[in-house]
Amino acid sequence: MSAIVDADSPILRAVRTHTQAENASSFLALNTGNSVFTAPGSDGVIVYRRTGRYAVQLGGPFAAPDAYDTLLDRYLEHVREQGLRPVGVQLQRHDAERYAGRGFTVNQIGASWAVSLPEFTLRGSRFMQLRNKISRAFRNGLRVEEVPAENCREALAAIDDAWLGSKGEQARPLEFLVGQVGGDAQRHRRLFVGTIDDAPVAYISYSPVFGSRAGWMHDLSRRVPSGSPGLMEAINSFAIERFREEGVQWLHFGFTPFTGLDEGNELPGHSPSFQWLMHFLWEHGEGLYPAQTQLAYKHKWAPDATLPEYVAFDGGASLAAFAHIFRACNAF
Amino acid sequence: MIQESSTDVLRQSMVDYLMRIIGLPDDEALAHEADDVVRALDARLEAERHAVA
Repeated sequence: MSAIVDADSPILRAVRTHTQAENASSFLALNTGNSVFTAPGSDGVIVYRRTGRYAVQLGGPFAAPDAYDTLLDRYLEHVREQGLRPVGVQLQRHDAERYAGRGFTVNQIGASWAVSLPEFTLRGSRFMQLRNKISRAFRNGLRVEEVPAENCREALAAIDDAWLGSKGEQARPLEFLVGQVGGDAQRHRRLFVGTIDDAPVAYISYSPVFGSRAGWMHDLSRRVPSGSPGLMEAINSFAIERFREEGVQWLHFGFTPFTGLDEGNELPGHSPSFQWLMHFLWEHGEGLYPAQTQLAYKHKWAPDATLPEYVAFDGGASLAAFAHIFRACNAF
Repeated sequence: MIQESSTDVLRQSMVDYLMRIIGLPDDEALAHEADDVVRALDARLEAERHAVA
């Protein structure tokens, strides 16, 4: 993790320092477009987006243990004064217990997934299909390179355009809970780009993860629809080998809503109807979010850790608050 | 009416309200009606859980 050497941003300093919640997605706090709440005398930040009449918070406070409650109190006061209703998403268990203790209704909304790299290998029968897919991409001429984003803006734009174009006229690129390429935070990310015959065909951006499972998160990834099979798998396998050579401990695949649901993860006071809805959306919620497709990709890498993530409703569980999480992500 | 609905009807209503809210996210009256359905289903599912236990 020696790539992260500076701490010139108070948000970066907070997510690097205050890791007690172990939020693998904490680097998303640095996305452009986020609002950041701080309070004098409280060491930490709260990151959120205003959408409609809601303030949608990313994770819990990234705050020193003795500032956590004070910062959260002031944040809640701040958003309520503005006529906004708070709702938190991607809370980790640490946060979820704190919010439940404050009277929020807290439910599991999904999970994030991670692979331990020191023991990772693609050998063995369980990875046979994955190996075949990767081989096919390389046989089709794929070359993978780690490159600075500023050196390949046009290539990334071409991939993005082709990717978005393949999604239909109504397609909207997701924001907020997904990674970005570019902006001030770019120097902290890593970018692997695939080309075939010198034409850009796919990329994966990795963002840093802090805490006891430090490593990299397989973040924003896109490919041209007409490319070879196995592009993403081949690029990721290339990146994994690079990370393993560097001694990186964990590769995270990030949060997928509606996945990893388990009764044992729920907290006292959770909403059973919302719990049921999460299972329903796992089965039938493709139109809202393609959770099964996303999880199928993550499962290919045989994750070692499944980390439950939570939503926190101010008061009772609320469909409008839940919908506004997706609205904040530009899903509709 | 909500009190008399079956669990499955309440579940379907919850899904319907979610879809309607996505279509009309700033409609506060719709959000309040949806809250009523969630509360009714929560109560129903809690009661069923206790009955089984």
